[in-house]
Amino acid sequence: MWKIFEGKAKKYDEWYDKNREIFEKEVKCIKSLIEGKKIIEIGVGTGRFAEKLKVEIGLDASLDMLKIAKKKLEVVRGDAHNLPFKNSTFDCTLFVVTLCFLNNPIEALKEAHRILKANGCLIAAIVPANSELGKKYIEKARQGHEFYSKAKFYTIREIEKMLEKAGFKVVDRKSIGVVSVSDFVCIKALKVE
Amino acid sequence: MKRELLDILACPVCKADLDLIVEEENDEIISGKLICKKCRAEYPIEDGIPNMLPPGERV
Repeated sequence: MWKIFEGKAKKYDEWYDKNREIFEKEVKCIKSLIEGKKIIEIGVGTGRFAEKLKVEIGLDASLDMLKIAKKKLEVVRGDAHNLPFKNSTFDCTLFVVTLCFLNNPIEALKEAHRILKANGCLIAAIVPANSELGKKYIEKARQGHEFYSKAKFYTIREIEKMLEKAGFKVVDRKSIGVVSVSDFVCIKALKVE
Repeated sequence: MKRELLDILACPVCKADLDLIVEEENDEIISGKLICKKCRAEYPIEDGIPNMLPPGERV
Protein backbone atom coordinates (compact mmCIF):
# COMPACT_ATOMS: atom_id res chain seq x y z
CA MET A 1 0.00 0.00 0.00
CA TRP A 2 2.69 2.51 1.02
CA LYS A 3 4.34 2.10 -2.36
CA ILE A 4 1.71 4.42 -3.87
CA PHE A 5 3.40 7.30 -2.03
CA GLU A 6 6.94 6.57 -3.18
CA GLY A 7 8.18 9.25 -5.56
CA LYS A 8 5.08 11.38 -4.82
CA ALA A 9 6.01 12.91 -1.49
CA LYS A 10 6.45 16.43 -2.87
CA LYS A 11 3.11 16.33 -4.62
CA TYR A 12 1.45 14.99 -1.46
CA ASP A 13 3.12 17.68 0.63
CA GLU A 14 1.77 20.47 -1.61
CA TRP A 15 -1.75 19.82 -0.30
CA TYR A 16 -0.84 21.47 3.01
CA ASP A 17 0.23 24.73 1.37
CA LYS A 18 -2.80 24.81 -0.91
CA ASN A 19 -5.21 24.09 1.97
CA ARG A 20 -3.58 25.99 4.82
CA GLU A 21 -6.82 27.11 6.46
CA ILE A 22 -8.31 23.60 6.60
CA PHE A 23 -5.00 22.17 7.78
CA GLU A 24 -4.83 24.63 10.68
CA LYS A 25 -8.37 23.80 11.76
CA GLU A 26 -7.50 20.10 11.67
CA VAL A 27 -4.35 20.65 13.76
CA LYS A 28 -6.37 22.57 16.37
CA CYS A 29 -8.97 19.79 16.52
CA ILE A 30 -6.35 17.07 17.16
CA LYS A 31 -4.39 19.26 19.59
CA SER A 32 -7.43 19.72 21.82
CA LEU A 33 -7.55 15.94 22.43
CA ILE A 34 -3.85 15.13 22.94
CA GLU A 35 -2.59 14.03 26.36
CA GLY A 36 0.97 13.35 27.48
CA LYS A 37 4.35 14.21 26.03
CA LYS A 38 5.69 11.02 24.50
CA ILE A 39 3.75 11.08 21.27
CA ILE A 40 4.13 8.95 18.14
CA GLU A 41 2.41 9.44 14.81
CA ILE A 42 1.83 6.30 12.73
CA GLY A 43 1.75 7.19 9.05
CA VAL A 44 3.60 10.45 9.65
CA GLY A 45 3.97 11.19 5.92
CA THR A 46 6.00 14.37 5.38
CA GLY A 47 5.55 15.34 9.04
CA ARG A 48 3.25 18.34 8.62
CA PHE A 49 0.87 17.41 11.45
CA ALA A 50 3.69 15.99 13.60
CA GLU A 51 5.60 19.26 13.47
CA LYS A 52 2.60 21.30 14.68
CA LEU A 53 1.56 18.75 17.31
CA LYS A 54 5.02 18.36 18.92
CA VAL A 55 5.17 14.67 18.02
CA GLU A 56 8.40 13.01 19.19
CA ILE A 57 8.62 10.05 16.78
CA GLY A 58 7.14 9.59 13.31
CA LEU A 59 6.71 6.22 11.63
CA ASP A 60 5.99 5.63 7.96
CA ALA A 61 6.71 2.90 5.42
CA SER A 62 7.55 5.34 2.63
CA LEU A 63 11.19 6.41 2.56
CA ASP A 64 10.38 9.24 0.17
CA MET A 65 8.00 10.77 2.75
CA LEU A 66 10.41 10.22 5.65
CA LYS A 67 13.25 12.07 3.96
CA ILE A 68 11.09 15.22 4.17
CA ALA A 69 9.73 14.43 7.65
CA LYS A 70 13.23 13.89 9.04
CA LYS A 71 13.92 17.62 8.82
CA LYS A 72 11.17 18.12 11.40
CA LEU A 73 11.37 15.17 13.84
CA GLU A 74 12.94 11.78 14.61
CA VAL A 75 11.64 9.23 12.11
CA VAL A 76 11.56 5.45 11.78
CA ARG A 77 10.72 3.48 8.65
CA GLY A 78 8.32 0.72 9.56
CA ASP A 79 5.02 -1.05 9.09
CA ALA A 80 1.97 -0.03 11.15
CA HIS A 81 0.96 -3.70 11.46
CA ASN A 82 4.35 -4.72 12.93
CA LEU A 83 5.54 -1.79 15.04
CA PRO A 84 9.25 -1.74 15.92
CA PHE A 85 8.78 -0.42 19.48
CA LYS A 86 8.79 -1.93 22.95
CA ASN A 87 5.60 -2.47 24.93
CA SER A 88 4.17 0.40 27.00
CA THR A 89 6.39 3.12 25.53
CA PHE A 90 4.13 6.02 24.51
CA ASP A 91 1.57 8.33 26.16
CA CYS A 92 -0.25 9.02 22.93
CA THR A 93 -0.48 7.47 19.45
CA LEU A 94 -1.85 9.42 16.49
CA PHE A 95 -3.30 8.10 13.24
CA VAL A 96 -4.09 11.12 11.08
CA VAL A 97 -6.00 9.96 7.99
CA THR A 98 -3.88 6.80 8.02
CA LEU A 99 -6.26 3.95 8.92
CA CYS A 100 -7.91 4.25 5.48
CA PHE A 101 -4.60 3.33 3.82
CA LEU A 102 -3.88 0.20 5.89
CA ASN A 103 -4.55 -3.37 4.78
CA ASN A 104 -5.66 -4.42 8.25
CA PRO A 105 -6.56 -1.47 10.51
CA ILE A 106 -7.53 -3.68 13.47
CA GLU A 107 -4.07 -5.28 13.52
CA ALA A 108 -2.50 -1.80 13.44
CA LEU A 109 -4.74 -0.66 16.33
CA LYS A 110 -3.73 -3.75 18.35
CA GLU A 111 -0.09 -2.85 17.79
CA ALA A 112 -0.78 0.76 18.82
CA HIS A 113 -2.43 -0.65 21.97
CA ARG A 114 0.69 -2.69 22.74
CA ILE A 115 3.10 0.26 22.51
CA LEU A 116 0.90 2.58 24.61
CA LYS A 117 1.34 2.91 28.35
CA ALA A 118 -1.61 1.99 30.61
CA ASN A 119 -4.30 4.66 30.19
CA GLY A 120 -2.42 6.02 27.19
CA CYS A 121 -4.55 7.56 24.48
CA LEU A 122 -5.01 6.98 20.80
CA ILE A 123 -6.36 9.65 18.49
CA ALA A 124 -7.70 8.52 15.14
CA ALA A 125 -8.48 11.35 12.72
CA ILE A 126 -10.64 10.14 9.86
CA VAL A 127 -12.65 11.37 6.92
CA PRO A 128 -15.86 9.33 7.44
CA ALA A 129 -17.05 7.36 4.42
CA ASN A 130 -20.55 8.82 4.77
CA SER A 131 -19.46 12.46 5.24
CA GLU A 132 -19.73 14.90 2.34
CA LEU A 133 -15.95 15.03 1.98
CA GLY A 134 -15.73 11.24 2.26
CA LYS A 135 -18.24 10.87 -0.57
CA LYS A 136 -16.20 13.32 -2.65
CA TYR A 137 -13.02 11.29 -2.05
CA ILE A 138 -14.79 8.02 -2.88
CA GLU A 139 -15.98 9.55 -6.14
CA LYS A 140 -12.43 10.70 -6.92
CA ALA A 141 -11.26 7.15 -6.13
CA ARG A 142 -13.73 5.76 -8.67
CA GLN A 143 -12.22 8.08 -11.25
CA GLY A 144 -8.80 6.61 -10.48
CA HIS A 145 -7.28 9.23 -8.15
CA GLU A 146 -3.72 8.07 -7.44
CA PHE A 147 -4.03 8.11 -3.62
CA TYR A 148 -7.75 7.81 -2.87
CA SER A 149 -8.23 4.85 -5.21
CA LYS A 150 -6.00 2.85 -2.83
CA ALA A 151 -7.89 3.95 0.28
CA LYS A 152 -10.81 2.33 2.05
CA PHE A 153 -12.89 4.90 3.90
CA TYR A 154 -14.79 3.86 7.04
CA THR A 155 -17.68 5.33 9.01
CA ILE A 156 -17.20 6.60 12.57
CA ARG A 157 -19.09 3.57 13.87
CA GLU A 158 -16.83 1.16 11.96
CA ILE A 159 -13.68 2.77 13.38
CA GLU A 160 -15.11 2.82 16.91
CA LYS A 161 -15.93 -0.89 16.65
CA MET A 162 -12.36 -1.61 15.53
CA LEU A 163 -11.02 0.41 18.48
CA GLU A 164 -13.14 -1.59 20.91
CA LYS A 165 -11.95 -4.87 19.36
CA ALA A 166 -8.36 -3.73 19.81
CA GLY A 167 -8.88 -3.09 23.53
CA PHE A 168 -9.68 0.63 23.59
CA LYS A 169 -12.51 2.63 25.14
CA VAL A 170 -13.75 5.57 23.07
CA VAL A 171 -13.93 8.61 25.36
CA ASP A 172 -14.29 11.66 23.13
CA ARG A 173 -15.01 12.75 19.60
CA LYS A 174 -14.56 16.12 17.90
CA SER A 175 -15.14 17.14 14.34
CA ILE A 176 -14.74 20.03 11.95
CA GLY A 177 -16.36 20.86 8.67
CA VAL A 178 -14.49 21.12 5.38
CA VAL A 179 -17.10 21.02 2.61
CA SER A 180 -19.88 20.21 5.10
CA VAL A 181 -20.13 19.59 8.87
CA SER A 182 -18.24 16.63 10.35
CA ASP A 183 -15.92 15.95 7.42
CA PHE A 184 -12.85 15.50 9.59
CA VAL A 185 -13.50 13.56 12.78
CA CYS A 186 -11.05 12.96 15.62
CA ILE A 187 -11.88 9.99 17.84
CA LYS A 188 -10.09 9.71 21.16
CA ALA A 189 -9.78 6.31 22.84
CA LEU A 190 -7.99 5.07 25.96
CA LYS A 191 -6.05 1.87 26.54
CA VAL A 192 -8.19 0.23 29.20
CA GLU A 193 -7.26 -3.47 29.02
CA MET B 1 18.75 8.49 14.38
CA LYS B 2 19.67 9.58 17.87
CA ARG B 3 21.31 7.00 20.10
CA GLU B 4 18.44 7.32 22.65
CA LEU B 5 16.04 5.88 20.08
CA LEU B 6 17.58 2.47 20.78
CA ASP B 7 15.95 2.55 24.24
CA ILE B 8 12.48 2.24 22.72
CA LEU B 9 13.12 0.34 19.47
CA ALA B 10 12.36 -3.38 19.24
CA CYS B 11 12.42 -6.01 16.52
CA PRO B 12 9.15 -5.60 14.56
CA VAL B 13 8.89 -9.36 14.16
CA CYS B 14 9.64 -10.85 17.61
CA LYS B 15 9.70 -7.58 19.66
CA ALA B 16 13.05 -8.42 21.27
CA ASP B 17 15.81 -5.89 22.04
CA LEU B 18 18.33 -4.87 19.40
CA ASP B 19 22.10 -4.57 19.17
CA LEU B 20 23.46 -1.46 17.46
CA ILE B 21 26.41 -1.43 15.09
CA VAL B 22 27.49 2.06 14.07
CA GLU B 23 29.30 2.73 10.80
CA GLU B 24 29.07 6.52 10.68
CA GLU B 25 28.09 8.93 13.42
CA ASN B 26 28.24 12.68 14.05
CA ASP B 27 25.57 14.27 16.26
CA GLU B 28 23.40 11.29 15.32
CA ILE B 29 23.87 7.83 13.81
CA ILE B 30 24.03 8.21 10.03
CA SER B 31 24.63 4.63 9.00
CA GLY B 32 24.95 1.24 10.58
CA LYS B 33 22.60 -1.56 11.48
CA LEU B 34 20.38 -2.91 14.22
CA ILE B 35 20.40 -6.65 14.89
CA CYS B 36 17.68 -8.49 16.80
CA LYS B 37 19.12 -10.22 19.87
CA LYS B 38 16.62 -13.05 19.50
CA CYS B 39 15.84 -13.79 15.85
CA ARG B 40 19.03 -12.15 14.47
CA ALA B 41 17.11 -10.22 11.79
CA GLU B 42 19.10 -7.20 10.57
CA TYR B 43 17.75 -3.69 10.07
CA PRO B 44 19.91 -1.18 8.18
CA ILE B 45 20.28 2.48 9.17
CA GLU B 46 20.76 4.66 6.08
CA ASP B 47 20.89 8.46 5.86
CA GLY B 48 20.03 8.55 9.56
CA ILE B 49 16.78 6.60 9.12
CA PRO B 50 16.47 3.09 10.60
CA ASN B 51 14.65 0.75 8.22
CA MET B 52 12.52 -1.32 10.58
CA LEU B 53 10.27 -2.84 7.93
CA PRO B 54 10.04 -6.61 8.56
CA PRO B 55 12.64 -8.30 6.31
CA GLY B 56 9.92 -9.83 4.10
CA GLU B 57 8.33 -6.45 3.37
CA ARG B 58 11.35 -4.59 2.04
CA VAL B 59 11.55 -3.73 -1.63
